[in-house]
Amino acid sequence: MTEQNNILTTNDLQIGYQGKVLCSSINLRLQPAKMVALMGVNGSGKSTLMRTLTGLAKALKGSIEIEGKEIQKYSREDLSRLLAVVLTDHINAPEMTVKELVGYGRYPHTGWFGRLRLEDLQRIDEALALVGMTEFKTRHLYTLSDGELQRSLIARAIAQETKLIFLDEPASHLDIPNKAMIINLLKQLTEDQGKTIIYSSHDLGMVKKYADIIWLFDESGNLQEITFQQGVESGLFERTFGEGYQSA
Amino acid sequence: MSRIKTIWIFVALAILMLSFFVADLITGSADISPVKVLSILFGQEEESIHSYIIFRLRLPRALAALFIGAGLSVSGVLMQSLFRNPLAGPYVLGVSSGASLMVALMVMLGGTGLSFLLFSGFGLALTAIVGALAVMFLVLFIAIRVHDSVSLLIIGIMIAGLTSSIVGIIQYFTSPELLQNYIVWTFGSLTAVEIGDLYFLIPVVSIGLIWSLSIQKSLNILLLGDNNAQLLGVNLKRIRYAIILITGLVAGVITAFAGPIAFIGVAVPHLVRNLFKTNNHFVVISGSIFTGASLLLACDIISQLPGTNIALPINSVTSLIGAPIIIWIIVKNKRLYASNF
Repeated sequence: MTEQNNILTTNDLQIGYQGKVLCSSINLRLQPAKMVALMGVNGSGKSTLMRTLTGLAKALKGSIEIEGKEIQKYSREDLSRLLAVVLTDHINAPEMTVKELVGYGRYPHTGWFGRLRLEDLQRIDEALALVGMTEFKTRHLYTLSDGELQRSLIARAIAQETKLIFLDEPASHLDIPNKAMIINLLKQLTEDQGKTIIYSSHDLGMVKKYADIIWLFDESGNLQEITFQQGVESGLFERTFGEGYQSA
Repeated sequence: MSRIKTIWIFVALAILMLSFFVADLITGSADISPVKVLSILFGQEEESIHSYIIFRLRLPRALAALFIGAGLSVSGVLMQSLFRNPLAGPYVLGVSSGASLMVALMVMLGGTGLSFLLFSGFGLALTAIVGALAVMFLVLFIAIRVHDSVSLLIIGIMIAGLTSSIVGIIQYFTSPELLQNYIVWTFGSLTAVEIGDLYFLIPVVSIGLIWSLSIQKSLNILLLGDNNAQLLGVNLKRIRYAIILITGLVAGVITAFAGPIAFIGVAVPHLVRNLFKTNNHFVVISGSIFTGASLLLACDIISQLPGTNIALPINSVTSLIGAPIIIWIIVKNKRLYASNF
């Protein structure tokens, strides 16, 4: 595949905040329809990388290209039609319903008034069906469990109809059935809809089962692009996460 | 909530607002019958002391209540959305403190020979507007540098604290007679608004209301938090500047003409969200226009103490009514608030 086919490219990217460098010389080439797990110990730079790749934080150096065009050359509006992000931010809207939340995913596609057309309502219903939340449509957010809320947030990202979806620890505070359900759902999105998923995770078991590629912040703070197999065989996982990583 | 139910609530609110408006025109120390008020309004009466009272005193007061109620309530919605804080109101940016500071300064200068400005209501309003806008631009200038809303909120409250302490110092050195002018101003007053002031007040508030409605799509996305809003295509800087400008202008101008009117701006957005069971800003802003106007008209009627010759300061009435409303909503929805705020 040629350079043009890459959905996401970084060239000599340096990330960090307030002048503090977290990681340098990041050169990523990501092809579409892949599931990428972003791993590393706490504070290694996972969130900062995600914030930088989604344009929320500025790169200290180097460039990021999405579909061959530098990220700064996109307006915030254009970017919202290219990439969706599921954050762990708390949503402070007591009266909001699941349908309204998912509907916000359609905002980049609506006009000045934000009115949802028939097509938008269809996309909302499809997204809700995909995450198994159809019957929760009229429920208020404060009545949902963590798993249901996470599924609704993912439905919002699906409704946004973007090629790229970023998720910040999408399964971190979920129980085992919900965790499996969410990760499985993300995998399906890459396979059935050709979406590219980048998610941060601490769960090696799930990563082994579902991730095509791992971006790992290693023990010296460099970002390595590896497969699960390579991580085990090269001893990278052991050096990064310590000897007991397999039992974790 | 179904669309039909929402429309019915709007119709009911519009009727309520209109009824209070007419009732406010009927209320006052001079005894003018409702029929006479209507015939004066529709131009079927010759010029008399009664038509003077209606056109020169009561109509400006009722129009002021209508636009001030609507303007303060919508400013409250904007502030609560910007800061995602249920206690935020039109004055958290410190605009009323800026106005108060200038008014206090004028009162003190009144003692040093500049009192001619005090005798003209518009002169006092003009200085208050200068104070309010100065604080608004200061906050705007800070907002360019400070990127998160919580810090901005704290800075706004600090500016308010700073200006009130300066006001305190000024008060300390002012003679009791002059001080009384200032105290009376802080009570808030709709009767202080004259017909000429309305030519300025109504357009500014109207522009603010229309501008607020025009940014409702971005305000809705802002409910998801600053980061999510950006990721859904909102230009965060532009929307924050718009919110600060609208609130600064509307609340600033209102404070300048009618003094700081408490509680309406904080209570009405809660009342409306509770009434319509929604966070959708098109509904909340439109609902706040009608509800805010109705509530301040109602407060004005109560403050006239119908059947008596005395009138209460409007600020006390809005607090007497506004505070229980907030308490009632919070107690009623305690589960809702506990899980979200």
